[in-house]
Amino acid sequence: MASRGKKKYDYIIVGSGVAGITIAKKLLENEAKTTILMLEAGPFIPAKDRRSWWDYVTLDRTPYDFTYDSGDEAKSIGKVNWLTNGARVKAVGGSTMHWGAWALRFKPEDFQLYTNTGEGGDWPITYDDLEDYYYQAEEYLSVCGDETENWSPRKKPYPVPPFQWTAADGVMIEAFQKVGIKPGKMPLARYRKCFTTGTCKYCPFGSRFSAVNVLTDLLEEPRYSGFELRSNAPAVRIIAQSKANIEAVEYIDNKSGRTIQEHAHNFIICSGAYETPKLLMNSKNQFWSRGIGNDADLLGRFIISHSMLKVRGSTPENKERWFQEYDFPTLMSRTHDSPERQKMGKIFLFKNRVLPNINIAKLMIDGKTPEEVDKIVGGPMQLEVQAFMEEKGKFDNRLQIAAGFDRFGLPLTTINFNRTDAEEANARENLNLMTEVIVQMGYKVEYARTEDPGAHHTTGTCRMAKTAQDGVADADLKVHETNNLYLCSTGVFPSGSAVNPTLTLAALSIRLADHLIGNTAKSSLHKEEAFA
Amino acid sequence: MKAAEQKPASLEKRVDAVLASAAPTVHEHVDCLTHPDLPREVKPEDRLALLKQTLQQAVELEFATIPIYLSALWSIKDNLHPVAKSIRNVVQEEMLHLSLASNMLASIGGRPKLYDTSEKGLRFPARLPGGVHPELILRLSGLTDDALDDFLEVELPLEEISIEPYHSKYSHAHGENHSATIGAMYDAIKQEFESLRPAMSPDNQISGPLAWFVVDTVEKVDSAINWIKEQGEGAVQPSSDENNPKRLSHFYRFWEVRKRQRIEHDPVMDKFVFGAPLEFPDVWPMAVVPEGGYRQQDVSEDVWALLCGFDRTYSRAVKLLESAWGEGGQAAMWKAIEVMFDLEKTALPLMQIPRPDGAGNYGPAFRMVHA
Amino acid sequence: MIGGIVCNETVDSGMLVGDGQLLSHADREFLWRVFVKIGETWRNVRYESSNLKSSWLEMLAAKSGVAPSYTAEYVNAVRVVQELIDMYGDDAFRKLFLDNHIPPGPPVTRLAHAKKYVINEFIIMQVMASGFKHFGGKNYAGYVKGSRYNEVPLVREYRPITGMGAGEK
Repeated sequence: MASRGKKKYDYIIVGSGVAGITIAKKLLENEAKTTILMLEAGPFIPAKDRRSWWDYVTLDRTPYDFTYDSGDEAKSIGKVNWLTNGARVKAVGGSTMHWGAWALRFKPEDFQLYTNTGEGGDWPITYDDLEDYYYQAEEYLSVCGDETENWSPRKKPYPVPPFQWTAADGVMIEAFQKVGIKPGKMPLARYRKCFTTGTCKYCPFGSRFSAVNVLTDLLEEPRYSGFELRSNAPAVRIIAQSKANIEAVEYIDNKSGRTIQEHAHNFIICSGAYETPKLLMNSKNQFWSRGIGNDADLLGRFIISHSMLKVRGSTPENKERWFQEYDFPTLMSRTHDSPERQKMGKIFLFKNRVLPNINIAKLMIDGKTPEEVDKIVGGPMQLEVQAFMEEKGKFDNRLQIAAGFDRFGLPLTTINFNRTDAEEANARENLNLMTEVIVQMGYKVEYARTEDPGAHHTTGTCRMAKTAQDGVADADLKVHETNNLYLCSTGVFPSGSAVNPTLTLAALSIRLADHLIGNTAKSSLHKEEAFA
Repeated sequence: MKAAEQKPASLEKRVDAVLASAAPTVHEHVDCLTHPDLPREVKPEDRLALLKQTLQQAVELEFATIPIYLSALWSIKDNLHPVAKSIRNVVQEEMLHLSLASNMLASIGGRPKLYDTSEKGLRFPARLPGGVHPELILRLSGLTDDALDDFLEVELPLEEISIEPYHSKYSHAHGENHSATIGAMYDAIKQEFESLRPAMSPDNQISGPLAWFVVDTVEKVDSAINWIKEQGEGAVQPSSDENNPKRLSHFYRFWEVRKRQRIEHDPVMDKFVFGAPLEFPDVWPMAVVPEGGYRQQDVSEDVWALLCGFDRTYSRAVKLLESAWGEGGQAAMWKAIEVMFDLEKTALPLMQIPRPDGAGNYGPAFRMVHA
Repeated sequence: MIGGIVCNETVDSGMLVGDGQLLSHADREFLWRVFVKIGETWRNVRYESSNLKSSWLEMLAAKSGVAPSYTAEYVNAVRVVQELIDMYGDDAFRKLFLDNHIPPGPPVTRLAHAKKYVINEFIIMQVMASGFKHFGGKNYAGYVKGSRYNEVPLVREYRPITGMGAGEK
C-alpha cells in the first residue's frame, strides 16, 4: 500500500456529485488556498460533447449510460421490486448529469414526520433552519419558479421566472380545477441560457444545472491551486485514529490497481445514499466494530425512494396536433402534498412530460406516407397524470453490502424493501384521486398503477437525528461521536417527502459549508487567543 | 478619349486603390459599387473582391455596436425590465445582422473576420469602422442618457423621423447623416449582387436562432438586406399580429427609453406618438471604461481577476463566432452562444464594484487577449 | 428487397469500420441531395432545406470525424443510392423511403446498412431540425428554438378561455 507522502489536506471529499462539488465551491470561494482532495469512483465523462449529443438525438444513447448499475450489481431482495438500474450516474459530477432538474423545497411538516404521523423519522432541524439555504440553493441552481406560488413558505421570490404551461397542459389544468387541485408551474433548475432544445438529459449548452460544469470551472480557476480531483478512485475504507478522530481515507487507483491512503483534517462523505453508508459499514476497526457511525446498527436502514403513480387516459383525436415540445413537465400540483395528507400518503402531482408524443421520425422511418403520418399525428392521443408518493422509512427496509465489486471497484449492494398493506391501500386511494382527473378530462382510463420504486430519490440510509441512538449524523451532519467526519448525501434525510430531493441536498450542502467555514474561523480565533 | 476629369484616376484604378487600402471607407466602397461604369470598366474578379471587402466592412459595423449595447444591457439590475428586454432585442438583432452579413460574405467565398489583434482592431473608445460618422465616439458605459444619445446617433434612421423632431447633438457633414452611408452601403451591396450575379454557395453559412436563413440566391440577399435595414434603421412599423409587439427599429427603441415614454399608436390621428410613461430602470452606475481598459496596477486583485476573466471569455467567444463561418461550422456557433452567456459571470460582478475614485463602478473592457 | 448487386450484397450487421477514412466533398454533396429528398418525399420542409445544411454538415462532421466513424457507412450509402437511381430513376427515393422491403432485424445487406445508419438518422435529423413544424408545433426534442427571453413564445402556450367557467368549452 502506498501513501503519497505526508500531505494533510484541509478536506477530503469522497464523491464528486452535487453535494461534494457545492461544498468544495463554497469552501474555495471563502478561502482560495483551501486544500481539497476530491475522490470519485467513476470516470470523467465530457459534457456538451457534440458527437455525444448527436448520438443522443439520433440513437437515444447517452455517454454515461455505461455507468449505470446493471444486472445484479444492486439486487432487490425484498417483496417489492426495488429498481436501481438506470438510477445513478457513477461518474464525475454524479447524477446531476442525467437529472431532470425539478427543484422543489420540502415543506415544514416534512421535517417532523415522526411527530406528526408516528412513522418515519424527524429531522433534528426545522424548515426554518433551512429556509435561507433553500433560497441560496435556488439562486445557485437557477431555479425558475412562479413567485405567486407558496407551496412552501418563502421569504423571497424565485430568482428566475417559471416556464409557462404548454397548450397541451390545458385539458389537465381544467380537470385539476374541477376536482379541487390547484395547478402550479414546475420549478426547474435552468440557467438563462436555456435554448429549449428538449435534450435536457445531455444539454448541449449546459443550461440545465449539472455539477460537472461547476466542477470544471473550479478546476480551471487558477487561484484554486489547492483543489485536486482524482477520478477512477473508489474509496474503500475510512481510517480512524480513535473513535472520534478520522485520519485518512483509503482508495484504489483503478488504473494502476494500487491502494493509496490520503490524510486530511476533515472528511466529508458525499457518495450518495448508497455508497455513503456502505463506505462507513466497510470501515470497521477496534473503535467501531460495526463500521464507523454504526454502533446503533442504523446504516443502510430506513431506505425509501419514490414510486411513481400513473394514470393514463386516451382520447380518439389529437385535433390540435400536440406533441412533446419541452423535455420537462410544466404542470404540477402540491395540493395533496399537505399536512392533512401526511399520514395517509402525500402525493406530488405532475403531468407526464413526454405525452402526448408522436415519434414523427419513427413513422417516416417505418415508411409511412405523408398522408399516413398526418393522420396518425392528428389521431388517437394519450395523456398521463403522474405522482410521487411519500414513503416512510422502516427499520427492516434496508440496504446492505453484498459480496463482490462492480466495474468501478465499489462493493455490490442488496436492497430489501417492503410495504405494508395499509400503504398499498393508500396508494390505491391516491390512484383513485388521480383517475378522477383523467375522467374529468373526458378521457378513457387506460390504466392506473403504482410502478416499482426507482432508486433515483433514495434517502434515509444514514439519517440525521438528535442522538446517536436514533441516527448516524447530527444536526450539523457530523457523524455522532466523531470530531471530523461529515456526511452529505440524500442518505442523511430522515424523511423523503413527496418531492425530488436534490434542492434540499444543495441547501444542506451550502449549510454544511457555512458550518465548516465557521469552525475554521473559530479555530483560527482560538489560536490567536492562545497567543494573545 | 475623355477629357481630363476632376477625379484623377480611372474607375479601375480607384477600385484597385480601395482594395489595396489599409483603411477603406464605406463612402469609397459605395461610390465604386454604385458607379454606372462599374460593369464595363472593372474586371469581374475585382468586382467580387470589392463586394467581399464591402461585406467585411458591414460585418465590422454590425459587430462594433454589440459591446456598447451589452454594457448598457448588463448595467440594468432587473433583466426582465421592459427596457432590458428591449435592449436585449436590439443585441439579438445586431447579432442577426452580423450573421446575415457574414452569410452573404461566405456565400461568395469570403470569410468574415470578426477581430483584429493589431493596432487597427476594435478598441474602446472607438469610432464606427469605415469612417462612418467620424465625430461619434462609441464608449463602454452603463445605461445613461449620454449613452442613449450615442445609441440614437448610431441607429439614426434613413427615412424621416416620424413622431416628432429629433435634435442630434452632432453636426452632419455634407448635409447627409451617416445612416445614409450605412443604408447606402447595404443598397450598394444589394445592387451589386443583382448586377454581378456571382456564384453563391450555401456552404460555410450558418443558420439557427441567431442567423435566420442561409443566403444562396440574389432574392435572399434582398430579403436579408431588407431585414437589416428595417430592424436597424427602419421606421416604426404597425404590427397586425396581436401576439407580437409593435415592430420598432433600434432607433425608436432607444428613443422610448430616452424620452421615458412608450411609443403608441393613436387610432384617432392614425399615427405613432409618445404615450404612456416608461420608467428608466434601476442601473449599476458603470463608469465609462478608460481608453485601453483598466490597468493592473490601478485596481485590486479581485477586480483584475474579473477583468481578465471577462477578456478571456470574450476573446474565446469572438474566436468561436468567427470560426463558425470557417473551420468550426455550426458547432462553433453553438459554443460561441454558450460562451457569450458566460460573459455575465464576470461582467455583472464587475459592475457592482465601485471605483475608488468615485467616478462610478467598474465594467468590462472587451479586450481581445490570448485565451 | 429493392436494388441490385450492390444493394443486396451481404455484409456483417455491425457498423462498417470507417475510422481513419476521409469523407470526400463529392460524397458529402451526394448525401446532401439524398437528405433534401426526405423533405421532398414527405413534403415537410419549412422554407427550404438549405437552411438545415449547416447543422447537417455538423452532424456529419461529428459522426465521421469521431470514433466510431460513420465514414464507411456514408460511402456505402452513396453506392447503394447510386445503384437505386441507376435502376429506378425518379422512383428511386420513393422506393427507398416508403417501399424498400428490407426485412426486420439487424442489417445484413448494404441496402439495410444504408437505411439504418444513414437514411434513418437523416430522417431523425430532418424532423428535429425543421420537419416537425409541418405537423404543427413550435418546438421539438433536438430543435434549438432560441432563448426563453425572446419576445416570441417558444412552444404552444396555454391560453385559458376567458369569460367561461373552468372546463367549459
